[in-house]
Amino acid sequence: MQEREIVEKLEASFRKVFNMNTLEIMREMTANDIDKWDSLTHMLLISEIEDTFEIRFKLKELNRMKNIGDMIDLISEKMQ
Amino acid sequence: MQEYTIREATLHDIDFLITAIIEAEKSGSDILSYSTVFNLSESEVREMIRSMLLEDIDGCEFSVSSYLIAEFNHEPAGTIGAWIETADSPSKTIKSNLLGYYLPKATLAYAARESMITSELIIEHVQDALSLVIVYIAPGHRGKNLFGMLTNAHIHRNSGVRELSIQVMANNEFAIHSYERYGFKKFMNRKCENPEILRFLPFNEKVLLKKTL
Repeated sequence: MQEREIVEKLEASFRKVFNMNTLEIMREMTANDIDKWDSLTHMLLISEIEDTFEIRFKLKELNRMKNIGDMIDLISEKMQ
Repeated sequence: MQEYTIREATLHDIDFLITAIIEAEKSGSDILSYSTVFNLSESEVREMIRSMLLEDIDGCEFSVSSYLIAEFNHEPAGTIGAWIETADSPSKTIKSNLLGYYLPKATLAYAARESMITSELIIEHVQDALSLVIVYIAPGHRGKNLFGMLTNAHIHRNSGVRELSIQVMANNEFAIHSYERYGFKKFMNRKCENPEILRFLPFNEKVLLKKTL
């Protein structure tokens, strides 16, 4: 899967979880950049991403992700 | 005469830490938010907390390394969990990674459907402050200034820290009075007017207190 396709699907996951139809994600964005990104929505987001891409993150992989760019790279790695 | 001693928590303290986390979450009520938000029994919550503590990951309330223990006669009498909140490794992310990893998917779906209202009471941790998160003094050891002893030890452990913060349900007047006696001042509060929130949390208002060192 190309990065562009990953970003499109990831953005759709973000829009669904945060219920924001115009939300645009960028690689450097973190939980501090989206108002509704709290503990509960973070769990829902990870679960939604796992379902969307049919992957399962390991705990150490989750703790390695510091921003959306890390998330894109990890998804890309796991899709190969 | 026996005296209290302060030491770092270890994996041998896990049962005490689980009780501390659960009692602190209940805030003097019968409502355990991890049960109500995720539709789990208290024994399921206990086992989930045990699994998360055993992961031994630093930086949140499910980290053994966050806790100091006050010990009396070789038995734990009280504990406080604390860490310095940083922008590049926010505790809310570490905590939700652990929770999300151990919670069954069905419980997340339940939370998405039923419990989103609880987000209304979330107050972010104060950046660069020493956040005191879980405070628990066992019955029989209360009123002995263990809060002060444990907090002083956390400050000593984190030399250079300039500010302390703590959050508490607004109806926990005993705790708020104890914190104010130590020098904390109320900084902000968050309230939810929708009575539905009382299905999930012990009270509908939370207070953030801070103390500058």
